[in-house]
Amino acid sequence: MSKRVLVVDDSATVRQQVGNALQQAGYEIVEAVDGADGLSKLADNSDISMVICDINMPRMNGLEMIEHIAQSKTIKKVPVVMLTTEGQPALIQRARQAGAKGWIVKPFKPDLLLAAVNKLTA
Amino acid sequence: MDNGKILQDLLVECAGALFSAYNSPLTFTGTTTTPESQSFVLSGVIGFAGTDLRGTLLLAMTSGLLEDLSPSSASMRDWIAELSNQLLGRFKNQLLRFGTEIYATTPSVLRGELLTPLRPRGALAGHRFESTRGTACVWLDTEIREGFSLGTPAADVAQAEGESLFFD
Repeated sequence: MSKRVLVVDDSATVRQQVGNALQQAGYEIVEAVDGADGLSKLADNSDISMVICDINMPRMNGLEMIEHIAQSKTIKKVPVVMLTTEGQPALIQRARQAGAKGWIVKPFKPDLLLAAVNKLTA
Repeated sequence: MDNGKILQDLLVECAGALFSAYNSPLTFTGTTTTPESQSFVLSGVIGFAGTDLRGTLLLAMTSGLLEDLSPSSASMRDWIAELSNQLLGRFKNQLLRFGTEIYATTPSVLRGELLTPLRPRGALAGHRFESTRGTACVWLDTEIREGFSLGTPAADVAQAEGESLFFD
């Protein structure tokens, strides 16, 4: 059975790019358009193995989403990697403290993203 | 060097690096206040604000070039929005070297032709990049806090584009 990865980004281009990189390796992709949608998808899909998440999104940003996950008693804790244009150390630290497992600055290299997903879902 | 020139030079550097990252090393062909005669069908507009700087970045492309750069089959509207977002992201990360921070808005997309951004005293200088597939042009309109000076940049502060960082 394929492992499922949730991709949270308000850009359809990025969701598709990530999907293209991972589907070739057999992963199944679930998409969300912002942090709130991401939380909803996590609540509805208990078999998601990992989350790849943007920071700057409408309605709920990625940092708010992972902080929500950290505090939730009902949402399953899965590895989260941030995929964002942001590179500021303070934001990276905030994500780390909220439980993120990694940080990738866009544009991403497909082989590195796949290696990260393979490692974190192993 | 004045703040305005530093910012415009930084924008050109970031734009060149962004296009190269998508395997499309466009040639920077100059900066002009002459209205662009290219038919820029789509443009991404993204605002930013911070304590020291605020303004707008505009990225416009001819359709063939935009399609050529696209890494997916998602809409060209979405793609130019994401490109302008990534361009501002690079610009923002470079500004951290000067000790100043900006916060970006969500990008918007304008559809039109013969784009000519203006300032109160005339056309805003546009930086043109070209390849055989078409033309891109970037504009940066900024307000700088009185008394603020960019000064000499420090070494890189932000994590580099394309790089991955993993936490234990």
